[in-house]
Amino acid sequence: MSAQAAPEVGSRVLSEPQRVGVKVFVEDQEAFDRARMIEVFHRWIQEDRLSGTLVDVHDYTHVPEGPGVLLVAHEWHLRTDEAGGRIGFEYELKREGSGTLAERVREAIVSVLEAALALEQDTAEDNPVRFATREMVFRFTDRLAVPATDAAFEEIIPELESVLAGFYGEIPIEFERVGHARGPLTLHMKVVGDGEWTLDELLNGARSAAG
Amino acid sequence: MTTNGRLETSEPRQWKGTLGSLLSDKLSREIDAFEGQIEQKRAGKLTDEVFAEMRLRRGVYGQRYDNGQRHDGVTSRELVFPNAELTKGPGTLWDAPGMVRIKNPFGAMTADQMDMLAEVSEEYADAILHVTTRQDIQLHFVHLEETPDLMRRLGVVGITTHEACGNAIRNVTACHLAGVCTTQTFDVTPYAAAVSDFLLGHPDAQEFGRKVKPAFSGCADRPCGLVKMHDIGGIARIREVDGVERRGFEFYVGGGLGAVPHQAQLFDEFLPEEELLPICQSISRVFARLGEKDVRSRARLKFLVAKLGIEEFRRLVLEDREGLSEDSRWTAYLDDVHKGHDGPLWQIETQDKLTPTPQLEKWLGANVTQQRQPGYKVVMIYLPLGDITADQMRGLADVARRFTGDSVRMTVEQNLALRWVRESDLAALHEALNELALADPRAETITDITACPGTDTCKLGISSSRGLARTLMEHLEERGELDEVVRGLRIKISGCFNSCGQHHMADIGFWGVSRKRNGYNVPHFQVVLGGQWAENAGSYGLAIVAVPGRNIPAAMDRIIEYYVDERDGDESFQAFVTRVGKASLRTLLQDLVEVPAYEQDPSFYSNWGDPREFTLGDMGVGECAGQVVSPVEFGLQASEREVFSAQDLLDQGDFNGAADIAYRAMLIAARTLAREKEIGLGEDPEAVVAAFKTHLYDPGLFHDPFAGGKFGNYLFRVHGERSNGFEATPERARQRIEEAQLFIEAAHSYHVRTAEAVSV
Repeated sequence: MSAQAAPEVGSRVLSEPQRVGVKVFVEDQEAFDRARMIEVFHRWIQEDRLSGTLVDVHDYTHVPEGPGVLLVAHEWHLRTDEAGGRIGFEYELKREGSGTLAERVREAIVSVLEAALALEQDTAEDNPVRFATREMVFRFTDRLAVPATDAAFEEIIPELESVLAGFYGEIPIEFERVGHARGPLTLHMKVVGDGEWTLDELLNGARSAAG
Repeated sequence: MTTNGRLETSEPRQWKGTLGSLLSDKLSREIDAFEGQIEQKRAGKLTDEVFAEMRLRRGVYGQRYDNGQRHDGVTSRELVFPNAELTKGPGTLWDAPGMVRIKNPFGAMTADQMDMLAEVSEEYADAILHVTTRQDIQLHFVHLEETPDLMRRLGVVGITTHEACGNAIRNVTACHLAGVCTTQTFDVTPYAAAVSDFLLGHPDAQEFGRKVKPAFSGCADRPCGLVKMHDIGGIARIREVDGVERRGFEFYVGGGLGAVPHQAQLFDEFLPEEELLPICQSISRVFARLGEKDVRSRARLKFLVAKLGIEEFRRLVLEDREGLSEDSRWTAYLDDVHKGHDGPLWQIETQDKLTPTPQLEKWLGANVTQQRQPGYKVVMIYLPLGDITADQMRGLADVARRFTGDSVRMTVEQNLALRWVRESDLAALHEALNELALADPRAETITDITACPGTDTCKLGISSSRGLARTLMEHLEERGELDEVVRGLRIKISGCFNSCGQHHMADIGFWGVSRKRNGYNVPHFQVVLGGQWAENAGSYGLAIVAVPGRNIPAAMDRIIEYYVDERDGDESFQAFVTRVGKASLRTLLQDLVEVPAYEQDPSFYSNWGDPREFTLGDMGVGECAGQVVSPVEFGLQASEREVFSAQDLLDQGDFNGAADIAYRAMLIAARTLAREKEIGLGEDPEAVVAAFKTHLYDPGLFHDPFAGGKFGNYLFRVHGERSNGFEATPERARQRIEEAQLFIEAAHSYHVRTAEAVSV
């Protein structure tokens, strides 16, 4: 039985997911050095650079359009995701923690931005990596909580808009459902209004909004 | 909907309730029981040992670092998990990510199953499905508590993890071309399915000391089934009886790789099809009754067959067979066997002549093969190191529905085979696969390297088999177009002696070892040459020399260039290795054995693809060792030279001589270590063995962290055989050489461990 057939509870489609993935894209795709990420992630484990129980680094660079280099933590996975032929950082909350869908999404966004910022800082002096801040991809593999249905897509948009307002303010954004019809619910978000943000600015905005 | 951004509260949804009647009652009960066992373990009501066997039988494995310790390249660190005190096995932490092995008998998958596999891989694992050399799928980084739901969802599409691990009948494999192969005697698929169904959970197959791996092949010549390296195996045969053609199997038992590989022995030249299941049942019963239970390293079926001799083993099995109560399942499936094939019944369309692009042409030449049914083709899909993403798997399910009538098989070379593809669909199929990045034209070539998980995820890995495989693939790509005779060679890599990468059967095989050099641990690979992939894994190669991992690409270059330059006409690689001799090949690689000083090239002191220094804590404190080679290193190198001499004698047909020299190599290694404890120790074998036992074996110092006293016991047994009139057959001589090699590897490991203990 596929998740598309997951039943609704009352009138609601969505419930509280454990797993939430957010991807931000690398700006200069051609210049991105995948092999370097193995060393970077190993060093991040040595330095406890990200919060959580960091377990290991896994090299999937041989897999076309695959997870690239994977940093495995008990609570989350961070990968130099190459899905769709576009490289980016995808941070996926996997375990522990709790909260509403909005809270989990916000946590995942903050985490991926912090990881991306760490890489920007690490590479500032040598072949710097920069991340695009006007688009993100949200992926919900927790199919019982967030089924990959049209109804779920409609219901989740206001949730995401509410969360993203904490990062972008009232700038117009739009969503497109992407990925395979039988895949997890996946949304591509683009900022359509004017504005440029650094990773720091997005994070600071979110902190201010959170009070 | 929501209130102020918060979802209204509700009971969390559960797969158990959601799937309802889609899951069979039997499977549902089994998974519920396993979930109950997880709860019992959490509550402290099950011991680690008991629960570990329970979860292994459900396909739930441990994974590297699950003891909560990981060396980060600078220091060994504790992994701090939430349930720090809770364990799921001896020395195995509850929260540590683990591996789940999924059984797919004969590697078959339907499109619906592929969809579900994709779902569970991205939800519970890392969105990668890893195809193994035994046509299983493995998911990594899975949490124990999520495995029941994972199993329920797989169960809905008819997939089980039951007995994918543990001391049980493992996945029943078969050649991926079964049913469509141009050289098959008949389709072995229904027989493999019958054995799988019959023995799954069978009461007579629950009391083994170790696992049993069955395999089937449709023909004797090709390698797809690898029958001769399996515990139980059948090669399809037809015999005329009373003017009627009858189906049966050339039936083998007692094969296996592992640390000391055994070629399977012929149990029956023709086992009639109706006897297949009862004989498998009786083999299980005899193995359960007489197989070793206490000494894990001698507990595989191959050791029982070797101990009893094939004649006695056969007698015991046939005697047991006589006493079995009739079971209707033995033959019930045969009614359906001859009904037809598993392919689509669609019409062959008139084929427009293909106008291939260079890319399509290359793919057609490399990945597309004949099928026995006219108008259809088999298309191979190359999976790099057996890995496929969830997105690719889902896309491939669409491809399978559209082009194959749902007929997909995994191969023992970690690829996929699409069967029943109409010739007229090839161009469109290529385009569809290209969109999924699955049209790489290198299936079943030298760059299609097989590797076990190695140090990536396996607890036993010594060197990085996948890191080396990636490096060799890139290296071969950079070399450009390869000589035609080289393109068809096979490279297979294991991260340790356990042979999961099947290095023994490769043209060029590697297995990971460690060596103490210049005061540091240095990852090495033993180079194994002369294995035979064809004829169902017809013969095994032997290690010729251990080369530092960094020099393996250069070693491979030299080997293939030597072959290209010096081969005699159409000489096969195996024949070439036999003709030129291992001594000449060892000489070819001799200078590559050297390891430069750490300061000169630190890359030698790391695994491929892993920047961490290959050490357990002694980095930076080895200066006093300098370039000095210790007496122990000298002694162990001398013992390795003896092993190599034994190989030479084996090649020359002097089996008793080979066995004697292998024994002497073990004695040299044992004496080398024992002399550290007993300075005046001489060369008398009795004294050497006694000193080794007293100072190293009995205190447990020589014991391998995972294999225990296994390698030390090799010495005692071989020493004992000396006075028992040991007569070396080719197989026994080869096995003794393997055991000597492993004993010396264990001596190296002991030396590394003690050196670390001193320096820490």
